Amino acid sequence: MASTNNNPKVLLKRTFSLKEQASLILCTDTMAQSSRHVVEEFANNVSDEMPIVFVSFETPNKPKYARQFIDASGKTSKQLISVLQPYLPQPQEQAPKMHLVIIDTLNYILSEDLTQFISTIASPFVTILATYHQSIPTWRSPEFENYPAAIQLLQFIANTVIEVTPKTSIDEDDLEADLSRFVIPRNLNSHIFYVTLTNKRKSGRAIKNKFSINSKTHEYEYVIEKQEEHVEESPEMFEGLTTFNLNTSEKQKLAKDQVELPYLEAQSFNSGGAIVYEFEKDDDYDEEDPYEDPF
Amino acid sequence: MSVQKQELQIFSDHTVLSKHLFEGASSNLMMVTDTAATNASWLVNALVETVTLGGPVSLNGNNSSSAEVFSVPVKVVVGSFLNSKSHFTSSFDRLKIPRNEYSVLEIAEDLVLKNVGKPVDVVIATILKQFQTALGERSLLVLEKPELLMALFKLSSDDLHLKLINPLLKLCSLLIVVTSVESFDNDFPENLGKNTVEFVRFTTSCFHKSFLVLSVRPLDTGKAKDVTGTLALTRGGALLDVSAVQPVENHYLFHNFKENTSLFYR
Repeated sequence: MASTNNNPKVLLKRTFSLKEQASLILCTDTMAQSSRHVVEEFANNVSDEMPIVFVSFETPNKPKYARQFIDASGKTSKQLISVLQPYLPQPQEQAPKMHLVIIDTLNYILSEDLTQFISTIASPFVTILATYHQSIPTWRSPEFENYPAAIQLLQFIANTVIEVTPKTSIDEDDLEADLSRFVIPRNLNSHIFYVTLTNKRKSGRAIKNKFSINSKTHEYEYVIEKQEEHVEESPEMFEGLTTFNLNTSEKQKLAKDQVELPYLEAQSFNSGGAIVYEFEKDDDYDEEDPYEDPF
Repeated sequence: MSVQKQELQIFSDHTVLSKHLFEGASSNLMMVTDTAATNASWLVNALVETVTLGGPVSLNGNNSSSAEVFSVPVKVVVGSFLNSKSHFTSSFDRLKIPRNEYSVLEIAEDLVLKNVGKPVDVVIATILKQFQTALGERSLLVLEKPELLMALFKLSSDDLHLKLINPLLKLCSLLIVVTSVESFDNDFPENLGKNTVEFVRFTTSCFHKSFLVLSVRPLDTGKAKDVTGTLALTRGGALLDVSAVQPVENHYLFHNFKENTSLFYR
């Protein structure tokens, strides 16, 4: 039987349309690629009847898809929860509707308040879709030195984690070096990008898949990560590199393959911890001496 | 042989500041970054000229041909935590911008002296009130070096964003935050102190709110005889909440010579 979960593209579609049960969907992004387009994909895929509450720390503009807009500026996490509660399904409601709460960034909430904030809002009828900007540094005071970082906590409690990365030809290290100097290369934050979807199953298994997304055409492509091919050594590889002879002849290769490595012998023992001692011709061994035999 | 000068174009309708930015009810944030070696004041002047005079006339030796006619009057307000009011008025006078076309707020003048011993919230409320009075429904606000408040009043980056930047963004159609990226040039990022982290946090948070970043930087190879630095236009972390236009990414070289600035494609 073909399970829907076995088809990565179907799983992504189900995640975007909130058909996969999840209390917290975490989007992690960087300066190289923002999660805004991913949030738009969710809004595009969910049912029109689903109430969407948008909690904003970053923009005063109410998105078209949002039924309720909450400006979180200047509110503590407790105040924010009390403002948000009336728009969420109430405990006395019978058969409440599924609600989607979008939080544009969790970076402004203190890491020590984060889990409480999330757990107070989350319920079987509320899905939280929240973004965490990984490029924003956080000062950690010595008293919280051993407390997990916000991103670690969030990745632990989230049912689904969507990591957003740019689709660019720039080398990853070069890009990181540029962004750390606030030098922003072209063609980042584009509508075409990669997402790595980590879906945590109830069994505890996590499924990780990578997709290429075009948020203008709403096309998703499953990306199969290529395994690095093992390159056989050839004499041409060393040509012009150095004046030393780095090549290995066929005879040398054969000799190398035949060398018996010491750990191979250790593996052939059935009882662990035995000492292998081979007598050599100069060893003086007295059979009658009880202290002579170390075994 | 002379190198062809290029016109500054920021939006897909070939304008520096599109009229569509000021037509709807949305508020958008744009970021201008500079360094100690390359100041972005020429770019700020060009942006103010665009709204007040119809085009960036100080660029390319007054030969700029693009003229944007704003269908609705746009209020231009400048607030700086670094420079005094006279700094801007004398600069705009030289560019022949009529004084009734803009207003510069007195913020940097005796900022610390006037507010010494006051709680931070009171200081911010006073500053906000100044802006509220000056800004209108459709307005462009240039906010220069707000990060200085963090150093002056021991304010955190988050408080600065939530208590000042966000309320200001609500008050105008386009907020241009001019900020320094000097704190990013750190040789030992693993040993960053609290203050540096806060400065970097402020700029990075600003990036995620901006639909476009205009970075003014020196050349990596140093200052040249005919090139002062680079201007890079790149998308920020936010989406522009105006459907009619989109920001365009571009890289320019610029040369400051006396009062003039020339732009070349990179």
